[in-house]
Amino acid sequence: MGKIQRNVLILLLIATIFIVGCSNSASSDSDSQEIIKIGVIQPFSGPNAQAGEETYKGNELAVENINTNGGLLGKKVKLIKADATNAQEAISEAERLITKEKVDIITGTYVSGVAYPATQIANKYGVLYWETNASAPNITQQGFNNVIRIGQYGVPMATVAVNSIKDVVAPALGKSLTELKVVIVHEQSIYGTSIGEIEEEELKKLGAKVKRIPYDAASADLSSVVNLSKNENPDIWLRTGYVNDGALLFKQARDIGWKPPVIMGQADDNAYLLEALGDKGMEGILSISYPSYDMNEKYAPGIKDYLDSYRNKYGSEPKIPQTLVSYGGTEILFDLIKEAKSTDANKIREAALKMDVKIGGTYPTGYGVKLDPKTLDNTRAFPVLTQWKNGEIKTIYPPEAVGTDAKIELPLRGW
Amino acid sequence: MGQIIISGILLGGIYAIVSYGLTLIFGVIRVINFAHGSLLMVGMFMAYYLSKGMNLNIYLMMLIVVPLMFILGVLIQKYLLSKVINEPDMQLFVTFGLLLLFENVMLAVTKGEFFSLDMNMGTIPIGSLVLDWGRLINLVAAIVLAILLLLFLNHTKIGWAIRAVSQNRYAAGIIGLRVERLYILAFGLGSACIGIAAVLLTPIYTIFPHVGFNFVIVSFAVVILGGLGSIPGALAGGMIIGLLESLSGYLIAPELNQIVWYLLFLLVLFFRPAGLFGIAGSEEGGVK
Amino acid sequence: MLKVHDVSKSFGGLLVIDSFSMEVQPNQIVGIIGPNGAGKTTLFNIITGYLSPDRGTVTLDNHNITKKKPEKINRYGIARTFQLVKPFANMTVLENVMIGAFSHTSKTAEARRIAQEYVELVGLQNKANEKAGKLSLPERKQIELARALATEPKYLFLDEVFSGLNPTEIEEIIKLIHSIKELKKISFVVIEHNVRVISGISDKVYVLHHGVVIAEGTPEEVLTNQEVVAAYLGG
Repeated sequence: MGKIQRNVLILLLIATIFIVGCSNSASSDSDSQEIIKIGVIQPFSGPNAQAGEETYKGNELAVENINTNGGLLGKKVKLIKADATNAQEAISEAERLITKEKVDIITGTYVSGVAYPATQIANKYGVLYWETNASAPNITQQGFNNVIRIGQYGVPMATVAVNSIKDVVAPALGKSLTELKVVIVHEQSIYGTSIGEIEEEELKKLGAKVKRIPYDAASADLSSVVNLSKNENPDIWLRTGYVNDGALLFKQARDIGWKPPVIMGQADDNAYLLEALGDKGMEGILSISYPSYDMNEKYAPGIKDYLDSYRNKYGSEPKIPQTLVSYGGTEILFDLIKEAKSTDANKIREAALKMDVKIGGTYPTGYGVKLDPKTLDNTRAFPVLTQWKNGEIKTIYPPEAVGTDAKIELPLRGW
Repeated sequence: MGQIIISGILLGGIYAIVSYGLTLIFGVIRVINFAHGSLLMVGMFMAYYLSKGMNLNIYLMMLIVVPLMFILGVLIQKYLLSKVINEPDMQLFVTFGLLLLFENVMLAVTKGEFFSLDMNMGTIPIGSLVLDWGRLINLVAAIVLAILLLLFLNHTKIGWAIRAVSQNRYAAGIIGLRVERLYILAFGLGSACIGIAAVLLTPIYTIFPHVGFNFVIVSFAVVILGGLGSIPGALAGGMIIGLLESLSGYLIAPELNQIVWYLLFLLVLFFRPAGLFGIAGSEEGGVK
Repeated sequence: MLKVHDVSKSFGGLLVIDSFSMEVQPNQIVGIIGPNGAGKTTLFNIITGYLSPDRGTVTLDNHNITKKKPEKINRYGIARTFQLVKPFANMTVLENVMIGAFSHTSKTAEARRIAQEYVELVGLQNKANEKAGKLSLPERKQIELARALATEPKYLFLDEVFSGLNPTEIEEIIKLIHSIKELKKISFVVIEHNVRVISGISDKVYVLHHGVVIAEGTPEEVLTNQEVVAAYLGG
């Protein structure tokens, strides 16, 4: 092999490694006092680029909205994008935002693995990290007083699952809670485990019989999970996991012709599962979902305006619910800045800890606001329960949120 | 319990079929093909897009995907690996580079989204037990492909040549075998086998750029267990691992379903590196 | 007739073969003798296509085969064995020999028939179905021989085929080579560093020393040559 060929090969290797990442556009506008700068850390390249971009649109729409209405504290708000796909990039981009761009606040993040290291840098400089999307438990367990998670995470997600079983699912089955048998299956990382454990604990408190089965999401076969679940003959099959394992789990249940009366999953309202199982396969499956676009305007005030402005600006329907979540989260941030009359992390935290907004009726996500004083998690960032009907997602719980005439339909009947 | 054993055997068919390409390439060229999983992924995407694009049955895509994968394999060996034929370290780098290349290109193309075919082909009840068509077709194909490969290796001149060159590159040269061409052919054939596996797995699994990773470790285990380069060994190794995984998932815990076969794999690696079905001392290898 | 004309080869400035020429007639046994490092194996590698000479030509019956690839050269009728005996350990004796036969047939049955003939010729018919890896060293040398013969060469190059064998075993292989020569009318070129072995087998001997031919002729002529004696006895 010639030297040139070898060099080309090595170049090829290096180029490949860097295909993902590295598309930062450092802006260096004049550092005007008349501007509030908010840094947005998202994966704008790599595998999650599209999701990062869509999530960013929520910030963008909220900022446009506030700027056309006179700005914040008499200043215009400006967003500065920072592209991070992994921990290293998260650290260097957070450093850049704070030391070079001199942002007042950082917000994000579609990927929890990016949020975690970025919050540490924000903490080093005492800058507020306003987390609208990432749900991993560890982000708010670092004892930082400048990291606030306004969006939904494991505890509310598990709580809504349990509440909806109590309020609508059990009645629909015509069973009392003590008659219910629930099998919880979840992928075994901290994401699935933390939710699965809360669900187990809370359901047991209500008197239901519960069996919990963790599994490996990278497994090529989940027949043992399906068969162990089937053996229990549960009323409800409650799942927390990712997309590929979800598709495999449902397909393998279908392959042995087993469909329990209720299937409920965390965020199983995505189009990927629909593609994998079809309208018929997904029919009736319940999902603990991000606030959905079919919600009632009363429960989610401003959702119609949001949808209109999204369509106007981007010329399409919103692609993922995370856009609404970051939009709503940014609105809450603006309300707090007004309240605190400052972008200082401590002042915003003080204001946020005092905030007490009930669920539904205030923000377009339907979220209420009540921070856990220890973790600064928003304990009222409540998702909704949706059901698949003819290939579409319909919000069916809480009743105040339901914006259509959709009603829960159970039990499920075959694949 | 019967259902668990059926699941194990069907899973064994999946593990076997994803391993033939690896064992063939390793057995002949002695390259640890890190790109194995990403070739599988590329094949699955080919099958998916072609089937969607032409609106034809996925199994018909075999006719296109397998030749395309054969060509891809030929190109890899001819223009990349053969340039570093005497440098084993560089060969590792090349296959690793290909892994990064394939995965990153597919990440860029798909933006990390998931794709699945909704193929509800139905099930076959046998008493109280159920088999699903997708996996059954795969199992039959795994057995048929093993037989065809064995017939090819043992009853054609090219097959003999591949076996010879797999055992001794130098000696094979002098008796009139073109080593470089055979290597190219072997990589092409190995990739074609991966293509067959890719088509068969596409109706079963969700496809995304890292999907191959779910099969890489297990196919290395299958190949080591069955003996490097051994086609029947890969079939048997696949069955053993499939059954172990299914049984331990059911009897111990689903989260530990890979521990048992992983332990077996390590034991074999330590005490019987030729594999359960290899002849002791034949780690030197060769295809059979 | 195989003709090697004025072949030279150097590695990194060191001249390993210096203007070597030889002729091998049909049905003749030629020995190449010399101490270790004399360049014997390099010479073999050049003639059989594993190395390219810097200079010089190799012709076989008026075909120029210089710098051709091993598999091409094999098709002209030249086969070789290797110094390190490497049969295909996982294959049976018969299968090993079949590999050779495949160089001129595509049919498995035909290859099997040819292989059986040569397995018998070297006297391994009783072990035809045993794995080659399990056989003794002399037997493995016989396999090598049979496999090379199964390519049906006109010229067979044997690289140190006697090394590691005891005198009785050497005697048997010599007998074998002689009988094959008579039966199949082929030429052998034999590399050896043992003077006694080479003189017992060769019609003609070339003595190589530091890449240079220091003597050639019948075994008797060569063994009385002063330079040869000096090279071998460290004079």
